[in-house]
Amino acid sequence: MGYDFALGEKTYVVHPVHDTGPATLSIEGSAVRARLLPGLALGEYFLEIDGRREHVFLASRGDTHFIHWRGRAHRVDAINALDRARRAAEPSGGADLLRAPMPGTVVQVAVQVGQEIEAGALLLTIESMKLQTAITAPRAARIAEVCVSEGASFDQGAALIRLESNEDESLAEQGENNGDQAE
Amino acid sequence: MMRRIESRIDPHGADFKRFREANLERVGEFRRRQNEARFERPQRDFDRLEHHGKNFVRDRIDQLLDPGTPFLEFSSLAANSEYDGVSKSGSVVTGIGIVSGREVIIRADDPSIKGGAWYPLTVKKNVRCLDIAIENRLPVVHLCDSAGGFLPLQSEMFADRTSAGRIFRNQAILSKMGVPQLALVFGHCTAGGAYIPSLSDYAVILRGNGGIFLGGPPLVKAATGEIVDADTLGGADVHTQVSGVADYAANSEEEAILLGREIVSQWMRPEKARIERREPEAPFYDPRELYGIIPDDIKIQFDMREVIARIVDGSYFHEYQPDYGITLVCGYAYIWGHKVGILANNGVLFNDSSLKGAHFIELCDKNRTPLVFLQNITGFMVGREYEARGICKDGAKFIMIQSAASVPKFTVMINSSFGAGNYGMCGRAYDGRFIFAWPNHQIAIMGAEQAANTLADVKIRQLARVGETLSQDEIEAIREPVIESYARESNAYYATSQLWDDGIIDPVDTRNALGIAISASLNTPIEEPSYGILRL
Amino acid sequence: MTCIPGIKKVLIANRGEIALRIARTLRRLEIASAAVVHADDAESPAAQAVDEACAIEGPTPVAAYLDADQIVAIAQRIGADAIHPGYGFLAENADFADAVEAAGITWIGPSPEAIRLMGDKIESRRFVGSSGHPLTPSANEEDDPATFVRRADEIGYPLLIKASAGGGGKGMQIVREASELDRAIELARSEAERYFADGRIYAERYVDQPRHVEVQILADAHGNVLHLGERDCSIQRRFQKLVEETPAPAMDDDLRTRICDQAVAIARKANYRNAGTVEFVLAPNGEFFFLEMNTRLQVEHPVTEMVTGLDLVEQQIRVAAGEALAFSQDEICFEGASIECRLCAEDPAAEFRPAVGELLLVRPPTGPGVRFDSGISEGQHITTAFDPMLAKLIVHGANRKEAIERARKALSETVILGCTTNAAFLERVLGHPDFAAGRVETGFIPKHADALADPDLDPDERATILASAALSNRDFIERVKAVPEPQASIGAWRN
Repeated sequence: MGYDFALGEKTYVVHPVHDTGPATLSIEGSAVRARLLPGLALGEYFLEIDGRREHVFLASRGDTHFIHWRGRAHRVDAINALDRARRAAEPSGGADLLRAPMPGTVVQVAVQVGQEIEAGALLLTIESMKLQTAITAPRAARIAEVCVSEGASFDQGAALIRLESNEDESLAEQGENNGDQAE
Repeated sequence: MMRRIESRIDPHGADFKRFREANLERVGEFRRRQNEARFERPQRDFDRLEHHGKNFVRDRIDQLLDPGTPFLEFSSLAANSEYDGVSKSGSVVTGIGIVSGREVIIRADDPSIKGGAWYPLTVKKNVRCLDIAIENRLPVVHLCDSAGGFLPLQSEMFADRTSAGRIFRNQAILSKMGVPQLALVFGHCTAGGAYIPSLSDYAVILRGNGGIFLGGPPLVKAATGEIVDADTLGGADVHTQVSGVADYAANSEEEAILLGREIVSQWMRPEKARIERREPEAPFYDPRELYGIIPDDIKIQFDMREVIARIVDGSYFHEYQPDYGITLVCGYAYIWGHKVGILANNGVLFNDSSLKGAHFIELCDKNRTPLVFLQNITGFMVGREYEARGICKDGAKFIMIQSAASVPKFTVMINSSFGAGNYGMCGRAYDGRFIFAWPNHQIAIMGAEQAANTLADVKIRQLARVGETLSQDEIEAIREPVIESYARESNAYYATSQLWDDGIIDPVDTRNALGIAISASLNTPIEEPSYGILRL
Repeated sequence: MTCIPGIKKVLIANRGEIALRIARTLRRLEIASAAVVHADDAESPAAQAVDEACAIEGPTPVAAYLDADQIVAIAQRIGADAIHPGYGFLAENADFADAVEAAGITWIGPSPEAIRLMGDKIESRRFVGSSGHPLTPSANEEDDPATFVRRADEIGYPLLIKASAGGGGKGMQIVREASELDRAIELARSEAERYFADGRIYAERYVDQPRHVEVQILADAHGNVLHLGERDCSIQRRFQKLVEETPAPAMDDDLRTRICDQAVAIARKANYRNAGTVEFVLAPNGEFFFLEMNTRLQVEHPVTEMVTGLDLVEQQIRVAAGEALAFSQDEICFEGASIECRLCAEDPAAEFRPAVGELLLVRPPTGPGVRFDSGISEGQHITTAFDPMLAKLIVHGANRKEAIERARKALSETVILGCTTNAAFLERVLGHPDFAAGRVETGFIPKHADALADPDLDPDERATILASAALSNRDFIERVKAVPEPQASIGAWRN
């Protein structure tokens, strides 16, 4: 099992195959000797790879890496394999069912079916053992189903809210010239 | 600083060629048998795995290990001579690997063989791998997937001191020592097996296939009449949400393994015992020449220095007492950058070689230098002269000091391992951390011919006392069965089947195996040397 | 002496790249500079470059820059002598120009009447047509709504339905067959309402494979009207210009002269003052027709500056201050060739969808003849709130071939990481044999879509990119380093 990196539409496995000296990596099944050396300018690097010396510019934000090489910019995302496996293994693919962490009653339902909410948004408030708990959204999503109503009682594990997965943020709709720019 | 061994063999000579052919055949045979034990199963067993959505045990291990790292497997041919060969590798895979940058012991049940049921030798192999964990302070990752004990053979694996109970005792001791254990439950952990995750620091259980219960559904029904399915009785949800017997639930084998890796990455990396080190360097001579050095006939002598030269870094060797006790070669070398003291046989052990060996072990012990024993020994010298000179007490001194040495000891049985020579040269009973064998090696109380002759001789003398003699045929009738049984029970495959060693290895793999073994052993601090009384 | 009497302080009513560019000229001319700055732009290079950054507010950032009253009030408050509107936003808003002048502030631009006349597509066409200048056959709905559809049909196909108050490529529909006409009219009208709050439309013959050629005009208040050469802006995508150059390629001098003379004549007829651009459509057969006039400074003005050596913003200020042009038509020298490429935050591989992201690394190109006009800086978050244009790369060369080489080199050396840009796409445009041959027309990009697409990466190239990423990834490096020796050196071995 290697380390996954997404480039373009596909995911590639890169893993280290050590050797004395610069790192040997296995990329798409081939062994590659590579070493990254900083250049003089900020963001400037030299990648020594299999005897070649490539001039690259690199900038990273967390696990997203941008590479400028030979006049083209590329984006590579490092994927946390456990997160990926978790998402893949989630039952009832696509939907996200939020269940009651303990038995209680519904104090307030804060959303409606069809509503789009952000990660962390309040979905409903429940009460149990004289303590109120806020149930919030684990991710941005659209509400697919509200399974309980205000005042209702439920058991631990009961279904409370079901989420749908969002389509990709459609930037295509926004951001065509907003009228501020000529031709 | 050391000098390089000068090789004196002729790689183009007739002997070399003949030996090489023989060894290539032996190694070929070994590889074939190992491959078969590792990977070949009846198709219906693979089908059954697929039907349950289970991955093959070795695929699980490959996913668990850090990519680009080695796996030193123990006893791949365990149980090959028992149970009609059904229990491949003893139905369990054990070894040392790297997970999230940490050296760990991996113990993985093999559900492709009778559902992963434990045979008596499975239990022995499990106990042995946990002994290794204790002696070397290595964390353990259990990949649990077993139907439980193979009940028809329960008398061989239940009640004794080192039977199944020893597995759980070892887990408890490991925990007491502060060495972490992780259990990944891919299948059922029933009865005793349920204690493996329960005694582990961390337990991940797979939803669906995973189950932990002291009594499985059939036993529960038999005992109390209660009817309940495996998942309700001891599945992931029960144990991760209600009982607390397991810590994490995973929805796929991949998720369980990745979670396991994340858990292991939380463990603190221990400081290692400090020994003398150097940048590693490949041997100057090609290790594959070993095939041309080991004779095709066990009676033919060869110079151990040629073997040493093809195992150690740079083929450098500092020989100790080169002119004294010449049947035992002693000296310092480096293996994968670790400095070691090597003792290797170039003939039988005499008084002087026994004393030399004892003294050299003392030097290494004080110098904090781990010991590597390269065995090719038929025994100590016998005869009136040697007894009068005290070969018994000289051999005793050797055994006294070797037994008590505080530095880690490693043994490779290269050719012969007979009699008390095995003892002096750190055989199994002497708590070497790891002991490996080459495919050509033989091990017994004495050589087959010698045993046959001895037994025939006893009979001849017995009859002579009453005035009778034995015919040549009668002598043969005594000798033949002995030679036959010895041939069967003293060869490398029989020995490894019984777990008298930690595995047969290809001679060219010796350097890597020792390098990994030595590195693993340094997780335990090296105590100060001390010995019993030497009969001077 | 670069000081211009009467203009001591100028307020820039714009943002981003053009605001920064204007500020530079103001600094050189030792004129105090101020700019209206929305909170989102507070850290921008333009805001840092001016002497006074004046906060403006609005329900959206764009609304703030369109708030005429607020801007005039600020100008008065800070005692600005003049306002430069840049391009876009309120630059062609005649009411704003009126308000500025009414407040006693100098408007750096043409008169409000000229803006009204020439800024309105229908009015300007009517004016130009009546003055005897070539126009594409067209029909105005306003003239007689009842007969509009018939008159449009009579123009012949293909034709364009356009919004009268339109610009920026919005509110336009191409109609290739009569059957499409009614629907296109409906769509154009509704778009016009939506974007310009003005549903007036007209129809115009659509020239196939047209070139877009425009002429830079500079006129003063003393009756001098000059041209500063033509520009070819044919490389467009969805009616947005991407590459502009001067001189126009593959054009004989006779045609060049006629176009420029026409432009001057039109400007003179309209009593035009200050800088402006007359745009023409050039058909493959050499006919050219008036398209529209832009009554402001244009995005692509730098290419004209590169070949003439003139600072157009300076000229605008001087004209606004009442100075006469300091040179005659014959005294203007045109040297070499210049190309401009618009670097935009968009993803050519994803249908040019606008891209967002934090600019992690910005390294502008350098070299002889290279000019980089940008308003961006490292750490800036590119969002869809404003226009996707990040910067303009302008190069100058002794001839077109050298200009193309320099532009391509500069494009591949331009490092902008964190937000996808069209830099590599532009380099491929400039590298296309048809571009080198001057075979440009407004359909260039869709026509060569396949050749211009992102080339696939071969395994060696992927290895370089993946290795760079892996060796930059902290987790990967940590885990690689975590493997102890000798296992790290032994590698993936099994016994």
